[in-house]
Amino acid sequence: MDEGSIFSVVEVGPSNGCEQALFDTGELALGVGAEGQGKVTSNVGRKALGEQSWERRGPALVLFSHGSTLCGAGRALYGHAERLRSTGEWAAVEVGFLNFSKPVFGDVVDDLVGRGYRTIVVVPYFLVAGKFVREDLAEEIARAGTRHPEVDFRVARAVGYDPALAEILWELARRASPPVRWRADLLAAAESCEGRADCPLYGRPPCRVRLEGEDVAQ
Amino acid sequence: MKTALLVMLHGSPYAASNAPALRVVEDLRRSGRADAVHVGYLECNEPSIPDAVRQCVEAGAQRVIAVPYFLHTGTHVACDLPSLLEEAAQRWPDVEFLLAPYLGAAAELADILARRAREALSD
Repeated sequence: MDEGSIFSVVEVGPSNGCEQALFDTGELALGVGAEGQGKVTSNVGRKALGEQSWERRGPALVLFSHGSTLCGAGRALYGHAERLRSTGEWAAVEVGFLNFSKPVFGDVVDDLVGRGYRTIVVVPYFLVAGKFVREDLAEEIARAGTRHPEVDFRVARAVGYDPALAEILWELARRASPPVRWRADLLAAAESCEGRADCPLYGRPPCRVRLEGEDVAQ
Repeated sequence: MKTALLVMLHGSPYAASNAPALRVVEDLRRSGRADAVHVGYLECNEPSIPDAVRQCVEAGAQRVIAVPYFLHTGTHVACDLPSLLEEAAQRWPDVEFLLAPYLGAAAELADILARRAREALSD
């Protein structure tokens, strides 16, 4: 796939209450067909069936990632989340970070529980289950479990070894580019400038933040 | 043109953490798709990326395709790896250096994430 399709899906995921409400309504109206999904097909139905129906929602995925100080660093992951949503296999797919980036993992879990999910599958977006997965994620889940004892948390394996990866590497190699394109990821990161003072691009071109009233990106 | 793939790994001080990636590299070698497949580490391991580039060149590569085995566009992918390759290109001007998209940019990775989620549900 081209980079455009990765970078076109940055604006996914609820970021405020208004979008959240729309998102939930859409899920219910469409009757998202994940396994175990409740048979609720409208807001009216949801109210009529009450709390029981919420617990019948299918499993929600949380892609758990480290986060980065570089603005826009989560783009690839948001792209994967959107791809997983588009399959319709999962009742919900969200992204939660450990450090630096938002939303943080605990908030994502709280939100999903509030939306009625009772099975949450956490997929570590890590190459291996190192300290961040074995210790930090374990602690996050222990805390979330204390807040939500009714929720069944499953932790998936990290990416690790997969027989598909060698072919993926080869396909990436076939898309390799000459030096003029080597900073493309850096420039793309600036496109989603969040004005973060800890971003390595902060205040330098092509960062878009204004310092002392001057638009440094121009 | 003799082409070498250079898989650029972050590297971990724990050998077990490098093992899955090295197994993938071995799969790639066995596939016979590339003339040569080398590995270079950004941190904690040998060979370093500059040393691995030298291995590629000394083995006769006229073109080196570097593939970042990284999941994110953090500072390593966005800054550090391009800088290392730019230094290599200056040092060996007769060798063509190309940089592939990083692993996380592959759409197919979503299939692996879905597989991991299904495995977790079936446990």
